[in-house]
Amino acid sequence: MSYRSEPRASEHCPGKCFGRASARQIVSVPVLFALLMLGTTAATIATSLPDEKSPREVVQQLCRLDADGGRFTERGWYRATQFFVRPEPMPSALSLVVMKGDFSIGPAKVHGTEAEVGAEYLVLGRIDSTLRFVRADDSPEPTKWRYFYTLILSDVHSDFKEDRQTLREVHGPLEWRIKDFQAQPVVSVVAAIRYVEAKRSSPNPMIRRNAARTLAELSNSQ
Amino acid sequence: MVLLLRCVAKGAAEQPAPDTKLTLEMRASTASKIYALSTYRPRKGTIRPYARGFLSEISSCRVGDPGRNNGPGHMWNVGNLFNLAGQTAGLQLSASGDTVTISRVTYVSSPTQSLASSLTGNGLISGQVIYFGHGGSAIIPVNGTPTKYSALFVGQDPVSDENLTARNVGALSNSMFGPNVTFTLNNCHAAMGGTTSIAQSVANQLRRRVYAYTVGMFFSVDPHARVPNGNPPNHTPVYMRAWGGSNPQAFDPQ
Repeated sequence: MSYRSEPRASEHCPGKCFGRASARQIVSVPVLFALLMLGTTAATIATSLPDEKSPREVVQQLCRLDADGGRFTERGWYRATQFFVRPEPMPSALSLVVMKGDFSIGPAKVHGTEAEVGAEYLVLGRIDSTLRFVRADDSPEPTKWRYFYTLILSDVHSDFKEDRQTLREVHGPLEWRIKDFQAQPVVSVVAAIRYVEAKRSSPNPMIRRNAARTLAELSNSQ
Repeated sequence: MVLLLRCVAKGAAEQPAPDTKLTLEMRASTASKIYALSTYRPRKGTIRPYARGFLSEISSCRVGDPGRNNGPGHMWNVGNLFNLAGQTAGLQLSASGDTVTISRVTYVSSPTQSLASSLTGNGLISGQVIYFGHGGSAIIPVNGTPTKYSALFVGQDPVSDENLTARNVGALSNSMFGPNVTFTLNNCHAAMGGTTSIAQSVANQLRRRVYAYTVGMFFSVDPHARVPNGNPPNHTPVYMRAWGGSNPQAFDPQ
């Protein structure tokens, strides 16, 4: 035995069903229109607000840039000035901190226009300006670091003039910037190896020797 | 992430000898499973996360939040091992006649669950204080310059009141300490830096002798282990051991 409990609307009563749909549309069109208008207004407001990053996002972006070796180049170094209230010019020879694995960022503690954000690293050691690798705290195993950043919310910061040495005061949008400049980027092992390999062809034999030793140590740490 | 073990001797005559903590491990199990602490990722399925604050008597432990696993090469979560190491030491001290409380702490100076409050809020301490937790370096801006401090990472988040450094060690008080109390820091690198170490800072602040290690530490069921070799179980006994079997350094107040 077979039976159909209800005829399908499309088969048996198109007019009636169309009528019901129309009734829904009559109700929903103004609602949709209102929602559309609200959405447009909200979008307009959103786009008119400054593109303000949270303190945590600022630190996260700087740490990511550093980890990948973003500040090895002059261009990258000066691109990172956007994160600092008072940046410093690029040194002639960088000094790096090398971490094992990746960093992590803790929660932000915000007090008015000041915030604190901590980053955690497992640090292997440092590479100095002569490409010499020194274990962190002379410890054979990696040591844990917590690096604390203080950020301030301000529409005034310093930026470099065209000579990239002299700072000038700049007024801009209200945004979070890191108060104290971090001169030593914390980089991944991969980025550190890349940096040392790029510098190993120095005419200075001491630097070449240090580079070879550092590369051997870093390769073992991967 | 910390366990603080407080030992209260039953009267002056029964106070533990100054070297009690050094002999504790000698009476323990001789099983051979060992596990690396903190800088080494635990093997899958062996340890449940266990990190943030519990404060309890040893007979009624409360389990807190899980610890942090921050991705490859950044696994700081040691599961239940600080707790187990604290319980192991506590059981041994209890067996020798001491009254022992175990406190889990997250903050340095908060009114609750803090290292400061646990040292003063549980009555007179006449024996020894043993701390189990992470340690390392905290880089804090001072007058515009990032400055490195030896630190105990009391809590699991990188926020200022979860780290004990020379800057906030003043929050600790010896007001409930007897004259012969010793403080042992079972965490990585607490003695690193000598006079600038967190061990020296704690000794200076509490005016008591502090024992700490210059090297990293790991967990083991072998009280004599010198290097990690496998996973420790999720039950006592578990010991925190120094790499290479190093002895702790003693720091007297300066």
